[in-house]
Amino acid sequence: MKDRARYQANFEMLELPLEAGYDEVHKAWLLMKETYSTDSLATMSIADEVSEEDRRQLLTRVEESYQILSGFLREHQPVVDTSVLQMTSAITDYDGSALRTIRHLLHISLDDVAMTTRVPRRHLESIEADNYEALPVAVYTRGFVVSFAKHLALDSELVVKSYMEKYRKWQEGR
Amino acid sequence: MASDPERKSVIMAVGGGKGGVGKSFIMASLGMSLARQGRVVMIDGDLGGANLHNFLGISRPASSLTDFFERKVPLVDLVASSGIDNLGLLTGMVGTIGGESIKHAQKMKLFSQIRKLDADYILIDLGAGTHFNTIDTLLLADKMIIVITPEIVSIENMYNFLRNLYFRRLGSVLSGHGYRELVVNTWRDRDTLGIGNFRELVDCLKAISPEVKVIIEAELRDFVVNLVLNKARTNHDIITGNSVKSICIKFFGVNALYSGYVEHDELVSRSANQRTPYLTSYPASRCARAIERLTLNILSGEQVKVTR
Repeated sequence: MKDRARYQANFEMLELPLEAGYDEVHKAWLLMKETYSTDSLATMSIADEVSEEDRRQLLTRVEESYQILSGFLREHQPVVDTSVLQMTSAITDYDGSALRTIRHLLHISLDDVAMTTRVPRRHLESIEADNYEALPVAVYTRGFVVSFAKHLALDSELVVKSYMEKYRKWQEGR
Repeated sequence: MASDPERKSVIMAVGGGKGGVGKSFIMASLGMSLARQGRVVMIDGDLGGANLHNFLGISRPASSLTDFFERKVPLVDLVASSGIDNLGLLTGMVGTIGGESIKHAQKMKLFSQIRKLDADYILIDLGAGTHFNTIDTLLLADKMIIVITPEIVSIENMYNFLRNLYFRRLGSVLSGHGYRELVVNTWRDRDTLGIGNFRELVDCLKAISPEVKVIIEAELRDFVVNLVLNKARTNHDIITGNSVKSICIKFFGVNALYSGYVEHDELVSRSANQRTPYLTSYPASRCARAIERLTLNILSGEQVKVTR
């Protein structure tokens, strides 16, 4: 706790209590980016108090706080979730449903993935559903799968190799 | 506010800039929820258009605050039964005199009698608008509740209401320290002082003297507002509540808590029309559970955990 007190201003910036964990920090950061980076119901009606410049400055400070806190918390909380480890070491062949299962085990929402990776949500959905029809051409899909796998902290090379193999087979069979 | 050690009841009041956002529904439901664990007196302080009784499923009680103002009946004798265990109701008045015409002395007497009511929880439902009588009553509460809906009109009104609320409190606190009219005068001279918005006014006031700065900062810390988002239809709406909270903290410097949200439910107005309280008719609904969570959050200071 004493360690954490040094970061009080950063926790406050993300509107979190001092005892907040990495997940909470991550979530608060995403929410705050959403609140202040676009015109939302909440910000539109207060243009007289919150200028573009205010928002930009705020976002910079939020970003700084997130970087500082995530660094600090990652260091101090070596989270080893054995169920995820077991799961991932058992899988050698990745398809959409494997990705989905791992994502659920990690408690990460699709919106989260979409926001961080900048891959449109509908493509992530198609990847998970193995809905190749709805996915873009191979070169894009490949990139999306890599980003997705990285976000789930998986070996992206391994994932993309087996995923794209299935994609190719489907393409040949058309 | 906490000067009277005898006082044991928690006073909660709801206000907000806009009519129709569901203040009365939220308060009636909160009252019913609290009545399961303690004695509750609900006061319908919407003096122009009392309608709280509709959400409790009863007709307007015969006695009302009119008797207090016009016939000097003590407040405690005016509390009517609501038909629900542990829940007493004190209605506003309709048609006789509006809330605007209440004199200062009457208001002070009302406040002191409210504080003396024998109850664990006293809930005050206030009318829409930013009249200073509404604002003063809200400031009397231990828990100030503001209800919004995910609509721009409601949110804009809420910010405006918050500004008014905060001005009024700041004005009276600074007057108490001998800085009479300081807030009003500073605002009047805003053009010369280069004040364009709320934050700049507060900054300007703080710059007047170190003492004023200390007073304002202490006041800001104690100024807690409980936000409730009503009529949520999507997860995005629920997140909007969190964004509004963030703005209250970052740009008003107010200690805002996102205490809860209640989903939109057509059955709310239907049960009011049928004169049955919503919580009695639909105790297992999503809304009913949301209200339970809201009640606990308001008591404990916990907040909604927004998920994306």
